[in-house]
Amino acid sequence: MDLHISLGGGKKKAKKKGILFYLGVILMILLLSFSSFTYSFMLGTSLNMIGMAELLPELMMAVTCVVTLMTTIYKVKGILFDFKDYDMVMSLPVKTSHIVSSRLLLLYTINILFTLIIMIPSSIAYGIIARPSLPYYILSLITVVLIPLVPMIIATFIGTIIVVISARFKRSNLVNLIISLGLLSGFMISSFTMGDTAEQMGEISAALTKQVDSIYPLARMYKVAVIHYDLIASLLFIAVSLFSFLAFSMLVGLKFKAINTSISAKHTKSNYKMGSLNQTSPFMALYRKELKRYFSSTIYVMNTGIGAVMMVIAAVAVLFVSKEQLAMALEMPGMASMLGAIVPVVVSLLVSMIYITACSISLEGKNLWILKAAPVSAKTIFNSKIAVSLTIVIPAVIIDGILFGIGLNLTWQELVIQFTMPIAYSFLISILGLIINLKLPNLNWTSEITVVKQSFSTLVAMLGGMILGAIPLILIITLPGINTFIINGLTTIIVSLVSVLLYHFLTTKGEKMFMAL
Amino acid sequence: MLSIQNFSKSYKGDKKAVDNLSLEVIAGDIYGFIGHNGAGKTTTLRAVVGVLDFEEGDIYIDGVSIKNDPVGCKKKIAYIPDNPDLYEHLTGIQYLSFIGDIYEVSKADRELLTKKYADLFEITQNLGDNISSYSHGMKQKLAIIAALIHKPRLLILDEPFVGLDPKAAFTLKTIMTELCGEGGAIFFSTHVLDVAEKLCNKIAIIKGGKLIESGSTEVVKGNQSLEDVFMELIEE
Repeated sequence: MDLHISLGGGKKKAKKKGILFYLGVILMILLLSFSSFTYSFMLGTSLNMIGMAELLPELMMAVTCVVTLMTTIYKVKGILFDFKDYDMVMSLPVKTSHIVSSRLLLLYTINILFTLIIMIPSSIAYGIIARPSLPYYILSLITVVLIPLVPMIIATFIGTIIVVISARFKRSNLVNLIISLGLLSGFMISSFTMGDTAEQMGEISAALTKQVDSIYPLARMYKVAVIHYDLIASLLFIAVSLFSFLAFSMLVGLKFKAINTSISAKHTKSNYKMGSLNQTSPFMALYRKELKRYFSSTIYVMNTGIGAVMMVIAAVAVLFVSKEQLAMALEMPGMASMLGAIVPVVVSLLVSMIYITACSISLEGKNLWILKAAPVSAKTIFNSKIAVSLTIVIPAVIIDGILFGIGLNLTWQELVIQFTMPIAYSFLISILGLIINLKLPNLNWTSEITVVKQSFSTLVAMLGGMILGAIPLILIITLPGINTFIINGLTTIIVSLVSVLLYHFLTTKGEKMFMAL
Repeated sequence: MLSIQNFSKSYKGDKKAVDNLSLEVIAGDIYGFIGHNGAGKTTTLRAVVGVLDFEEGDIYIDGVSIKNDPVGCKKKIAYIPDNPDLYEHLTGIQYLSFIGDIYEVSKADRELLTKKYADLFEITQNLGDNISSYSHGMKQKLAIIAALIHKPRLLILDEPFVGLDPKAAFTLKTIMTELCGEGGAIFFSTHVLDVAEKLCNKIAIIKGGKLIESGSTEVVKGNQSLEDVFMELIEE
């Protein structure tokens, strides 16, 4: 992972922040690893009951591949093509194929981290359940580093096609964003429609594996190699992965300059004629500018707005299932009666992870001078950034509220919470995100991905959001005797009050922090 | 119009980038600010326009401290940095409208002034294109137009001629002279000493963060060329 971060303050302060950043990363890795282990163990146990435990490694490998595929497509623009220092790098006396390899390796580094986080705990879980012999562990270790290669190449191929197609349009960023969002939404909808209940976990997984085998033969090859210790399959898996990577590097190398040139060739009509110019308030001007900034970056939208899309897709899905089916799908059978209390909490948790403002100051980058020299208060600037975040989140919350209200037959009390609680969280995370970004800015970035995905600020915002969003869920689970309406109502009031306090902090201390940037 | 009093600035506890600098720019002045790379010119200009926070000394715009009323002071100023980093996701006209809204320029004024300056800098037909497609010089022209459409009383420019074609440079010099003739003032940094000598009525020379010479151009250079004076002063 590219962890270059710019940390403000003195050297000691920077060192301290650096340590905290790495601690945050470690915590995140541990959380994800624990989740992977728990999920794998549950799934493995279910499969073991029907004597099909050996499907687990293949299934988890397939899951890793699908996630790698979906999360790499939109990274192609910005990492492989159209990266900021392209001109500088290409002017160096280095072979184009070496530059391509270095960019692909950067993509690989990002993906291998995720693969290891998912696959190692999963392999341990399988080891506990199936007790395989030593070759399993050796082959798992050898093959795990190769797992992301092929899906990454497929994703890069699709991503390249999207980049080339969108480069033909004037609003290429928007076209790129729409195609990427469409692909991801399509994938999520299809995974929802597959159905996956706790009781049927084993059978569904077995059926799914058959499907995976037919769609992605490498998954079957992986299973044969690792589970059956098949040397030929092992060698074939290694060869296919490495050969695909090398062949693709060479192929891209041939067209690298041409593709980058076609992307960098901007559409210019140069036929503008002066017409009427409308006037609006400074706040509206800032808000529009901010909204355009948001939608001009695929990486920004795909990493922050996808939560809102997921919320809406989930709410639409609820229209087609009963409360009982939903409770089963959430792996909480018997909790159908509590869904009215649980759903706003889950929506709030999703809202808490939409960290749009946590990188909005950093994304100003070299343009920050425009805002700092402008005759507007920092408060107006903050309000415009918060407004953009709310513009993305609140419509999703309202659609969710309406659809869940219809789909789950919510009572009026549940309905009030269904709207107010996620909205309160929307304000909280938007304000908190800005404060975090003011504390941990990175204005010297060359790639947006460094700020949006790999900065200390977004890491803290995401972890903080997860913790804050999980509080009512923990309270409901640990305090079964207390009325859930009271827990949710109190949470909403407290979150609202904290938001007011944080906003006061933002408009007083935050102004000074902004001016000191 | 601009009064810098005992201004000092150091970064993260290091050596002072600017050390106890004081100078006055009055209405009608075209004040050139010269010095070698890293002398403290940009630091001073950034502090004047309220981009850079500072603790020591004070800066007044029309008698008002930029620390006490930053928004009020900024309304009277226009600033063009040494590198025109503009919003690349906007078109030229969207950027000018944004600046017009921020400075609350009336509809009539913005239409009139946008057309006037865009025509003067021969960029009107490009205003519908994304800024990301602009060359360095076109971005510089757009930054200059954005600075002028809100009729600033004080223009702060950091190396304004870099990247401009000869015709645009001439246009800018004409506009600078007109603005000062109408009671405005300009404080700008430059490495082009010929331009400073011909255009400025006052010159300030900064070395190692300290102001080593300032005053009327005639007095500063005496019988020598500005280049000779500058070379002598910085080698002392």
